[in-house]
Amino acid sequence: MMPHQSIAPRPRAIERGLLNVNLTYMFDVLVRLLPALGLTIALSITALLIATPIGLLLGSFRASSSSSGIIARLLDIYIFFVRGTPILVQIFIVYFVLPALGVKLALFWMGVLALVFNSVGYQIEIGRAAVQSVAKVQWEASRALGFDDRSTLFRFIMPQAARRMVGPVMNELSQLIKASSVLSIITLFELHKSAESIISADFRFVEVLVVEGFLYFLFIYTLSFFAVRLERRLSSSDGLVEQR
Amino acid sequence: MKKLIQTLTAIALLSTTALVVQAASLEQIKASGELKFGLEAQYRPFEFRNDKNEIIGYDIDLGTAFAKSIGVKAVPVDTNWSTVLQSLYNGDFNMILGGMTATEKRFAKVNFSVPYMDAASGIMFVDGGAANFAALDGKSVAAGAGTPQIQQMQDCAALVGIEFKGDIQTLDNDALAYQAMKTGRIDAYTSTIVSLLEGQKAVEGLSATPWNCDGAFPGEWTAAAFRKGDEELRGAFNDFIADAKQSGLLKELQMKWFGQSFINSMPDEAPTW
Repeated sequence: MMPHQSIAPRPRAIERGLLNVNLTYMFDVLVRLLPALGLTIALSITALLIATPIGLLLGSFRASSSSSGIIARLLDIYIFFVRGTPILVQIFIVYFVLPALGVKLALFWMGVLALVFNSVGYQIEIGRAAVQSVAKVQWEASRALGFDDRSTLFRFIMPQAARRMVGPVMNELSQLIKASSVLSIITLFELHKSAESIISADFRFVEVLVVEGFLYFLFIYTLSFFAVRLERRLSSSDGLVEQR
Repeated sequence: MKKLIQTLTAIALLSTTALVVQAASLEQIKASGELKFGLEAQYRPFEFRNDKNEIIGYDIDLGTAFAKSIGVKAVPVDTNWSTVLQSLYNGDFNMILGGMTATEKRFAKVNFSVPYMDAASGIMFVDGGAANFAALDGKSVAAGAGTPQIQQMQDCAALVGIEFKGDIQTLDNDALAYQAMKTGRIDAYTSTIVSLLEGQKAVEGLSATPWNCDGAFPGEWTAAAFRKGDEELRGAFNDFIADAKQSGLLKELQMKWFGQSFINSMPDEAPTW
């Protein structure tokens, strides 16, 4: 005979209008969502740590190379693809096309790969714009002193560009975290999937969505707090920014 | 451009050939010690999560008993319902045991077991609004995304001679539909009657009734789905269901999760077309 599992007590109906929320229930939901918040954090931080160096380096390369080279043109096609297709489609491609081509990855890494693929496309443009925003005279001065292009880029241009990247990268990171909710469609049990499963078990909407939104907000707010401090630090130590 | 098209075609061809992956035979499942079955844990009371995030429900109890009968461990795999067939062929799980209604369209891709539950349709109305199908003329209606009820609503509307306001909306799960009804976005929603009855208990102001468009629709059944060619596993599941009917297990599980038993009306033949 089957062991009888305990069934969650059915919550009271959505009976007193939409805005009448139950705080005890919301706290309960918060606790139930915490493991999934952990996965959301792991996914987005891993993706960020991989995507940011790749994206910004490729972007700096893109800014300092001629636009007719083959690599530059491939990068442009890639950026157009990322910008021109929904992340939903990109995630499904990773999930269904890669295994068909013989690439088998664990679900977690499929999610990370989809996020990295998407984010690098945007971060290339951040890197390119930041490097190009550094005044041209910096390049000319460096060349006049006898430095070649590569050491000019890494020793003088990049440090100045770095500070200008922090804001846009934080922007991109907040997009990335929110985009990770779309990974629910490939069955990663992250924050949004977890919230959905609570909604369909309990048939309660407002409370679950409010708590879900609050957790995303808290995570992103914490990160932006550190991003602002990093930006300040970089700018105070940055004696090379051109004065106007 | 031509190269690009060639590459894309190659990828498309590769993905279709990959559809014909070898079916994990019963022996392989026994060797691995695990039976994986696909479902989406958002379909109370068939499968949903309790407050400890564990997947429970009628399908889980049934799958656990089946796995035990062939001497392996049951592993429910929470998947995305609208791509469940693709995931089955991708090899994410051995079979689908997820409250799936056997339909002709799905039969083109998978084989079904003998039915293990009644999947008759039902319709949900908002109390005080339209109370029968004919009264839905000019109203907004919805059905579950990827469910047979979408086609049924179209067919029934043609039969009865009414026109809905706009297209039939499709929603990802029942809970979304109940909220849409409570906020007045839709006037009626169709799904299986057993899941609607579950919603009626939890959400005040909504009423569910069985619906077969005045006898226009034949009986519908919930069945497990298998890859075409995976006859060994399907045969084992069919034997298990036959035993479970005999032993009273199926009736017991239906009483536990649905509060009533459908055993006497359920056919012993697997649905085919």
